[in-house]
Amino acid sequence: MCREHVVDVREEYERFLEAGGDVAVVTMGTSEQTAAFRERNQLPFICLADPKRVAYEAFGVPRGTVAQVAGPAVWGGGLKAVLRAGIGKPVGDVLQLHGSFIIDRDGIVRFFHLPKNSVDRPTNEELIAQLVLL
Amino acid sequence: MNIAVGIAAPDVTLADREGNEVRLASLWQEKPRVLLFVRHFG
Repeated sequence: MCREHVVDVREEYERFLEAGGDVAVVTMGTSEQTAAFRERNQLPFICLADPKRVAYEAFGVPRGTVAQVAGPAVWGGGLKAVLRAGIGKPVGDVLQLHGSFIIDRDGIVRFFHLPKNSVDRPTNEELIAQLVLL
Repeated sequence: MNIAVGIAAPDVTLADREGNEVRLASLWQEKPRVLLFVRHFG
């Protein structure tokens, strides 16, 4: 799902900038894998490498159960994601879930979304609506 | 630590795609920042 999420955000990146914010991505890969990920998905924003999952742990981005990552609840969205983004070989912890955060200029968390399953995520509208408030 | 709205965001140091160290706090110094953690690269 996350490839789809970053691609969705990329497609409306201008709107994030117009809302006065910016975007960054954290991956579980090495710097080299992160560079390849950024290139492959044509991401214009900063992408950081967290192979030891230090930031994942610090932000409480959860690991899921197999059912949350691959169960019936994700089949529809997962299939859609695969059709949109193509199938890739997973790198890192396949049970790792994703997470979305908005942090203001004072370093305060103003919004976060942690998923119920691997296809649960906020829309661009939700994220942009939060940014314009800051 | 449980993340919550209103708390200070964790500030850890990661590497960028060229291997340079980046403090997360530097990301939100000038603009509010959407920070997306991806699940894997698949």
